[in-house]
Order: sequence, then structure tokens, then C-alpha cells
Amino acid sequence: MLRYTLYRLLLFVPLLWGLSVVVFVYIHLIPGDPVQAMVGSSASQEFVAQLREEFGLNRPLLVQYVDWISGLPAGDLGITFRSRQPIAPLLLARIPATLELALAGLLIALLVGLPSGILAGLFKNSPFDHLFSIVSLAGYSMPLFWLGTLLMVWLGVNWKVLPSQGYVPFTQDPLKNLQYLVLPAFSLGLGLGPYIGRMARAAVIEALQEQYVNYAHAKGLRMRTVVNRYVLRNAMISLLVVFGLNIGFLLSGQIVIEELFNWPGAGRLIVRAVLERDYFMIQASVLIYASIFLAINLLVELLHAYLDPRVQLK
Amino acid sequence: MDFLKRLRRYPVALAAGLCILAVVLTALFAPVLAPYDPDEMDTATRFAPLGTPSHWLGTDEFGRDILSRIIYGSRVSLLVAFAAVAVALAVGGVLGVLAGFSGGMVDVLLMRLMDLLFAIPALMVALGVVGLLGPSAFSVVVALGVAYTPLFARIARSAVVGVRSAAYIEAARAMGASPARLIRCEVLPNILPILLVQVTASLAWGILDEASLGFLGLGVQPPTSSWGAMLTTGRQYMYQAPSIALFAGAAVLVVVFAFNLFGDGLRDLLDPRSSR
Amino acid sequence: MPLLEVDDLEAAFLFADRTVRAVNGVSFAVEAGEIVGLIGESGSGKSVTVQSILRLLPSPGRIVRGAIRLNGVNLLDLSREQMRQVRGRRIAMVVQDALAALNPVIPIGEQIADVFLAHTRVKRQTAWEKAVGMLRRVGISAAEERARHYAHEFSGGMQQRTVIAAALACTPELIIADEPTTALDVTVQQQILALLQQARSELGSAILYISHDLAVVTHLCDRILIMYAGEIVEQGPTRTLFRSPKHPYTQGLLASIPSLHGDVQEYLPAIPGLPPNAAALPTGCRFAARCSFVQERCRSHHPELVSVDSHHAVRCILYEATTP
Ligand SMILES: Nc1ncnc2c1ncn2[C@@H]1O[C@H](COP(=O)(O)OP(=O)(O)OP(=O)(O)O)[C@@H](O)[C@H]1O
Ligand code: SF4
Ligand SMILES: [Mg+2]
Repeated sequence: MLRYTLYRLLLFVPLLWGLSVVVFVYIHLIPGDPVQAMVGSSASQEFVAQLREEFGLNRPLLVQYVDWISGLPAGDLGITFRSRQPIAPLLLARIPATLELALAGLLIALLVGLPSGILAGLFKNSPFDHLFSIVSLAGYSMPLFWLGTLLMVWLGVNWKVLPSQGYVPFTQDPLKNLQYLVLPAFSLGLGLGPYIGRMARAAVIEALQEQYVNYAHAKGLRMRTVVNRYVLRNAMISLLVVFGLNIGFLLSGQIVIEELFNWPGAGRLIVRAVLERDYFMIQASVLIYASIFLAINLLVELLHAYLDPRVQLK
Repeated sequence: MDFLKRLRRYPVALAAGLCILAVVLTALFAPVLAPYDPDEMDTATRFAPLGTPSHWLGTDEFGRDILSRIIYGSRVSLLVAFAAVAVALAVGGVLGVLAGFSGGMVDVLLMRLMDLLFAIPALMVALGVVGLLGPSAFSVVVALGVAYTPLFARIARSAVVGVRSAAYIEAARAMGASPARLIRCEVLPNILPILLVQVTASLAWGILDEASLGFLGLGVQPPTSSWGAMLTTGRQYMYQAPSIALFAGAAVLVVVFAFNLFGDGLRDLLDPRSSR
Repeated sequence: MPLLEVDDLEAAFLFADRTVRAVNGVSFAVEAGEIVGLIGESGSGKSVTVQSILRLLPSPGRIVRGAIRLNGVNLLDLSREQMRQVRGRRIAMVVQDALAALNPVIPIGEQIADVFLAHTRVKRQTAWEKAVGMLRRVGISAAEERARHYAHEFSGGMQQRTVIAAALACTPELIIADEPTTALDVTVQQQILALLQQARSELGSAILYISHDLAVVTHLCDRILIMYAGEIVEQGPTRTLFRSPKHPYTQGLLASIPSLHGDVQEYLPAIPGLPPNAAALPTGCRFAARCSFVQERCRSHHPELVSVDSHHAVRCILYEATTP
């Protein structure tokens, strides 16, 4: 296990490097000149040239890249185009809020999706399964922000049960922080729940068709044993893998929910950067988001290797 | 049509299909169906409530008829989704066929690239593309088209690889059949069912993602009425006119749900192993 | 009273648009300590018969008619829990694809221990020790160590030994082995057959041995049942069947064995033609389309299983004494 972990970690390095190249090249894909695109076509030639000079965009590409990447290990992500602020502290300040929402949303999604999906899978074609299929498909078809809006209007605005928008840091007032968390977390969780539920159902059904489940019955094992040790254990492992592949869905849902609830997370920062066409900010936040994404994937893979004895073989 | 006959045994899918048809017709005949011009402002009747006789669903902040805007909004949603899926189908199809037929390094490189693209969530890809091109309907089409490309590339490639190794293809090739002919006569009929299911599912995603981008302000720009953009404005006027966001969202939900139900039914229907 | 008595068993898969009649009116008995071979080509209904006995037919399979008696008690009347206690304890199963039958993510030893835990009141630790003992008994060396391994780390032969260990765990009265050696090479085949024979001599278990290959079972079985298209077409003691096969199908099967003692790897295509579709069975003799003795009446008249000797019965009009 230790060797495998080291091996995967080692593989992670070139992956990150590849990512940095892609993200760096991205800014140069902009039709025409990036600076021109950022300031608009009405800006004068001299102004553009001056900005190019200021941001070092007139140097050879390789020099720019080396300059950019050598700052990364020290946490230097460059400065924003508009306000000339260092990007790293800006992003860093948003990580706690983003993480909090993501974890809370995921937890709710798992609590909603796992039991219902597993039950539907175990009792395939039962009335519950049919109900589950319809409800989950509807949930799956529902725009996340719409669900969020409904929750916000009913619970937040009309009934005044919960604060509908905003954020208070946990360190400042834990209770308030949690109050503000409830609506966004439920919107995210209820939106993702059907997704997870459907994956869980599929995984259980797949496991049920395995011969070892049939053979477990032939050995006369109790239903409980068969379900826990033979069906669910295998289904959860394959669910973990599918989940790892779909983790991006969580990340995109997160962006929308942050925007809807004015949640000061990193997702909103990206949206603002895109709207303002601040390429340096886009570059940096995409790099961070994608690294987080890859890191979660790595984690899932390690967990998979830990749970499934067949993985470490190769 | 054998297909239509079999569809009758799936009443849910049939209903969903009819619902899709109705939405398509609504989009086509929007000018006939919509009671008002969607962009016609009437400051006298701003925020007319739900159930107003002249404006069933009320009016928005400019006194524009919400029902008419939703009817016209279906045009943007469907057009963007169809166009994006068409782009993905075309690009993905070509790349997949290319990878499948050429094999070797080209295959490996193309498919690794597709894997990478697939791993990135569609909304992220879209953020990147919209960042490059600026927010517009065109950007959204390109963005979603790019994001969905790997799905179709994979299907096309695996179909080509499967067929390429079949002996009768070797024979056909030896007799001088061109790759284009092979694809039309041997590959296409084989993958039509999966392709159809994937197209339906992608359309559902396309409508959802277009609305999400619109909601983030990165999609179709005002004053064009689109469901996503209506949700953004609707959110600002949640107190005065809740029906803006409510019905725009409901429209997205209904259409996406219909596409998903149809896709599910289609998959069962086209599955040769289905026992019904 | 026989140990197992299958009486007029009829099992089918009920699809909306068709019914696959996999097993039709099958009757046979297995005496305590006896080894009986059930032979037939692929699709003849052997596995469905077995699944019916254990009441583990996959849906939409149903037992439409008949009785399955174990020591006189009809298994079809048992409650779910009672049936569970029969499986693995009184009737144990050995399957063809051992790798697929073993849970990939649970150590081998635990999968055998599960059997003890399901049928006896023992602690987990005791069950584990007994499981290790079973592994040792089926000839796996370094059993304590091996018990902690996973299925994919075992060779095919060892996987099959593991399955046999799980089957023997509770000293079953009957072991059903569904083509346990088909996936193995010849030397391992012999070892597995030897293990089964040992189980009979040491534990006194009866064995219902399923195979599509007559040659494999010659030395193992006391009695043989020949199955064709969901029916038993001939049955009798092994020696009688080999000396004077009566049914044209049995004769064909025997003729396709290159040499009874020679090597069996050479698998001759038995009889030309295909068995009938189980969703559309012919009215007359089901073998008629492939039979070289076929007569006009075979196509309309469905022959009964008739005794030609004290323990020898056959289903063919050539042996039906009187014609009604
Ligand atoms: N799960 C199932 N669903 C539908 N039909 C089935 C199913 N299992 C078996 N059958 C059908 O029942 C008939 C008998 O199958 P069975 O598996 O008993 O054959 P078999 O004699 O065991 O063959 P083999 O030597 O290949 O194992 C076949 O026609 C088969 O198609
Ligand atoms: S009944 Fe007729 S067809 Fe059937 S085996 Fe006997 S001779 Fe052949
Ligand atoms: Mg079988």
C-alpha cells in the first residue's frame, strides 16, 4: 500500500506540470492579443503596449512560462489585471467558505442519495424503485439554481426561518455561520442527491447480478450478510470509482450555488474573473480548481486501492 | 415503423416524446402562440401579478409579458442545445472515426485528449471558452459543443474499432470500398441506437447547462429572452414578481425532464436484452 | 426413501412475449451416498434443474409444477428461512466458474467462515479457524497464510478447491457440482474429481454431478441421467448405459467419445444439428430433427420415459412396448 501510494504521488507531479502548461497556453489561445481583449478594442496602441510591458507579456513565451511557474511553489500566482492585487491571498481567503459548502453539500447529497439509491437497487422494480426512478430523474433534471431559489424564497424570504444570502466566518460566530450554511448546503445537497442516488442504484444492481452474490445465497448465508458483505461492499467500491469520475459535477454545482447565495467562495471569483475578462485571475483560479479536482481524484484512487485488493496488483 | 409500434409499449417515453414535440412546436410557432411581443415594454403594467387577465403569468420589471418571454425563451434553449449537440456530434464523430481508423499514435493522442476533456466538468470548460470568446449565444454553443465532444468521440471510436476488426470489413476494404462508405453502411447502423440515446441525454444537459450559464450571466445577453437569463433577473425581483424565476425554472425542469425520460425509455426500448 | 427426489419438475422463464420452457417434467432420485451424473449439451436445462432444487432461479424463472423432496420433505413448501438453512448445510453447491463465485474483495478464509457463521453457532474466531482447517483439508498448503489472500491471487485449481472447501464445510448430505472442472486443465480436473470422491467416502455425501461431457464422469458416477431439451431421455447405471445405450442421443454421445480411456481433450462434435428452441418446442420427440432413426410418428407423438430394464429407462418410441 505504501509503495502504491508513493507511486501514485510520484505520478501526480507530471500531471500537475501538464496542467500548468495547459493553463499557461490557454491565455495565448485568445483570438488576437490578450491585453487588447481585456481592455477592449477602443484602447490606444500605446496603452496596450504599456500594459504588455507592465505584465511582461512582450517577453518570449518560454521566459514568461518559466517566470510564472517558478513563482508557483512559493505560492505566487501573479496579480490581477484590474486591481493589481496579488491573486494568491485573494483565492486563499475564499477556500474555507468553498470547502465548507462543498463538504456540507456532499454530506447532504450522500445522506439523501445513498440510502434511497441502495434501497431502490436492492428492490429493483418494486413500487419504491419506480417512485425513486421518477423522483430522482426529476431531481436530476432540475436546475440547481432553481431549487436554490425556491428554497431561498420559501424558507428564507417568506418564512424568515433562515438567512437567505450571505456568509459569516465560522471563527467569528459559529452559530450564525451554520445558519447561513443551511440553505446553500441543502440546495447543493438536494441537487446532487439524485445524481448520487442514481449512481448508487446502478452500482447495487450491477453487484446483485454478480455470480458471487448468487453463490453467497447458495451457501445459505443470511440475507443481512449477503447484502452487507457481498452486495454493498462491492457496490460501494464501484460507486466510489464512478463518484471520482463525476466529482466535477459537484464542483460545477458549487459555482452556481455560490453565485445564487452570494457565498464568498472561490467559484464566484472565477465567474467574476470570466465576466471581467481578467485572464490572469482566470488562469490562476482554473489552475487551483483543476489541481483540487486532480487531488480529489488522487484521493479517490488511493481509497479505491485501499478498499479493493485487486487494484494494487499492477 | 416498427420503432413507433414498440414505442407504444413505453407510455412514459411516448408522453415525454410528445412533450418534446410540443416544446419544439412552441419554439417554431412562438410568434403565433405568444400573446405579446416578448420585448414589448409597458411601464404602466410593471410587475403585474400572476393571474392578471391580460397577462396570465404576470409581467416583469419592464412590464414585459412573462408568458411570451418564456415561449420565446424556448427558442434560445432549444437552438443552443441542438446546435451544441450538433457541433459535438460532428466534431466528436470525426475525431472518433479518425482515431478508430488510424489507430496507433494518433488514436492514443486523440483519445487521451478526449479523456482529459471529459474529466473536466462541462461548466468549467464552458467558463474557459466563454472567457476566451466573451458571453454570447455563439460562445455557449462552442463551449458546450467542445464540452460534449468526448462523449461522441468515444462512441464513434469504439464502433469503428469494433467494426474494423470484423472480417467482413477486411473483405469489403479489399474489394475497394471507401472508408466513407464503410462508415455509412457498416458503422452507422450499428451505433445508431447508442448515438440516439446519447444525443437525447446531451440535449437534456445542453438545456440545463445553457440555463446555468445564462444564470451566471455568461450566456445569451439581454434583452433576448432566455430561460437562464430570466432566472437571474427573476432572482432580483423575487418579491415583486416571483413568477419570473418560478416559471422560467419550471420550463427548464419540464423540458429537461422530458428529454431525460425519453432518453431512458429509448435506452430500454433499443436495448436488445430488454425483456419486456 | 431416497435422499433427494425430484418429481415432475417443470421450470420456465416467463417473459411477457414468450415462455422459455427450460425444464419439462423432470423426475429422478439420488440415494444417500450415491454419485449421480446429469449429462446434456449446453442449454439442455441442467443448470436450471439445479437452480430449481436450491430455489435460486433467477427472475423471471419460476417453478411451474412438481416437487423437490429432501428426505421426504418438499423443499417448495419450506419458508425462506428454512430454505436458507438447507442451502450450504444440507445441500451444498460447487460451481463451474470459481473465480466469479468468490467475492473479490473479501479474503478467501472469511468466505468459508461465513458458511460456518450462517449455519452453526460459533464465534467469528472459531469460524475462521475452522475455515483454515477446511482449506488444509482440500489440500491447500500454508492454509493460515493463504486464507488471508484474495481470490485473484489464487490459481484456477486453488479457487475451485476453495469453493469445494466452502461446500464441504457443514458436511452436506448432498453436493451439487455444476460442471466444476470444465474451466480447468486435465491434471487439475483429476485432482478435483478425486476431492469429490474423497468427500463421498469420508463424509458420506451424495453427489449430483453435472457435465456436458460423458467421458469425464464415467469413473465417478454410479448412475447417469441423460438430459435433452429440458427432459430426461435416458437414465441408468453407468455401466449399463455404456454397454447398451438405448436412446439414439445417448448412442451419439458415446460415439463421440474418442476412446473411453484415452485422452479426452479431443472433443468431437457430437451430433450434427442443434437442440430445439426452448421457447418453441416441437410437439413430438424433441430429438426428431437430429435423429437418424426418426420415423413419421416421432414428429407427432411425444414419447414417454419407459423402463427397458430394472433400473434402465429411455424416452423413445423405439422402446415403447405398445402403441396406443
Ligand atoms: N436467466 C435466464 N433467463 C432466461 N432464460 C434462461 C436463463 N437461464 C437459462 N435459461 C434458458 O434455459 C434453458 C436451459 O439453460 P441451462 O442454463 O439450464 O442449460 P445448461 O444445460 O446448464 O447448459 P450449459 O451446459 O451451457 O450450462 C436454455 O434454453 C436457456 O436459454
Ligand atoms: S422417438 Fe423417434 S426421433 Fe425421438 S429418439 Fe426415438 S427414434 Fe429418434
Ligand atoms: Mg449450466
